[in-house]
Amino acid sequence: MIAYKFLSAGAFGFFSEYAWPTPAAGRPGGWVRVSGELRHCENGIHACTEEQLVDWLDEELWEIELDGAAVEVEGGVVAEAGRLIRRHEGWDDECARAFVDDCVEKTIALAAESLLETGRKQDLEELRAWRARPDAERKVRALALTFEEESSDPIAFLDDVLRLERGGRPESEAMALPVERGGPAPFALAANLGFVCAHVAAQVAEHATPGTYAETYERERLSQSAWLAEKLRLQG
Amino acid sequence: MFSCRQIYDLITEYDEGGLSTSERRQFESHVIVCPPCRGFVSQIRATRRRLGKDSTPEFTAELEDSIVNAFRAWKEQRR
Repeated sequence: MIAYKFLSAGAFGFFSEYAWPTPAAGRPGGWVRVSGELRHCENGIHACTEEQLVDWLDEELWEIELDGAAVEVEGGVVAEAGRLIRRHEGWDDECARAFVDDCVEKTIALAAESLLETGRKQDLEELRAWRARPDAERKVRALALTFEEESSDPIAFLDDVLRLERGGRPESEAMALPVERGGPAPFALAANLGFVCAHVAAQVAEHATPGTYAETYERERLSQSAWLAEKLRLQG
Repeated sequence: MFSCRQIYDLITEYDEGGLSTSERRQFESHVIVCPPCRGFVSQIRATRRRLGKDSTPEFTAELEDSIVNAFRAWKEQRR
């Protein structure tokens, strides 16, 4: 079975702290095998399908061949053996930034919908114009403060999302650190914004129709994985 | 999913295999999507690896005497 595996720089497993043998001279990396019962997050070669990509974002994306016994688990598959086939070079900083941009655009669309519903067309036009401006975050914050139901309105969420997009934190006014000084790398921002924007969509849905959080969140994450698979031209 | 505070509290148990499968999944799910917690886990592990490389000095009688003498001298100064 061919699946996908995200690893940290140098084909290093972030959680397992395992340095994977990489392909060389046109041949796949060596087989890595485990013994004993396969257990999610504990024992086994962990990988994912195209539909689960966004649950595992990391610096490098690899195609992995799985072998032996395998079990489907929440968000992935755990197998007895695996070897790296090739790295998908298309998953890079540029792709991660494009992914973030797509996620943020969806949140902006939600905010725009909210403004339209409340008859604030002037704010809607300004919101669209702000996107490209460096002070967009400040403008959106000012707009968010004009909403009474701040905690559940898409505009309030967008305020947080724009701060996160720049590597900041919703609870802090501090400027984000650059990557070389410990700030979030593009792949880390992609992982963060993917989750947050799906959460925002689910929160908005839940507010409108109680009981719809889980299905909306799941749908958003599937949509994000599909976007990524198409962008990377993965053939699952 | 765990909160950032829970990640800070559970990092040692995670690394020592003290969490259940469900807790491990929640821990990892949070760390993947939270850049500050990812940085925290990386730092803790880098520190642990560095400490693991340092050799522990042999605790000789001379070393013990020098530590006790240094402590007594420090205590004397504080009087």
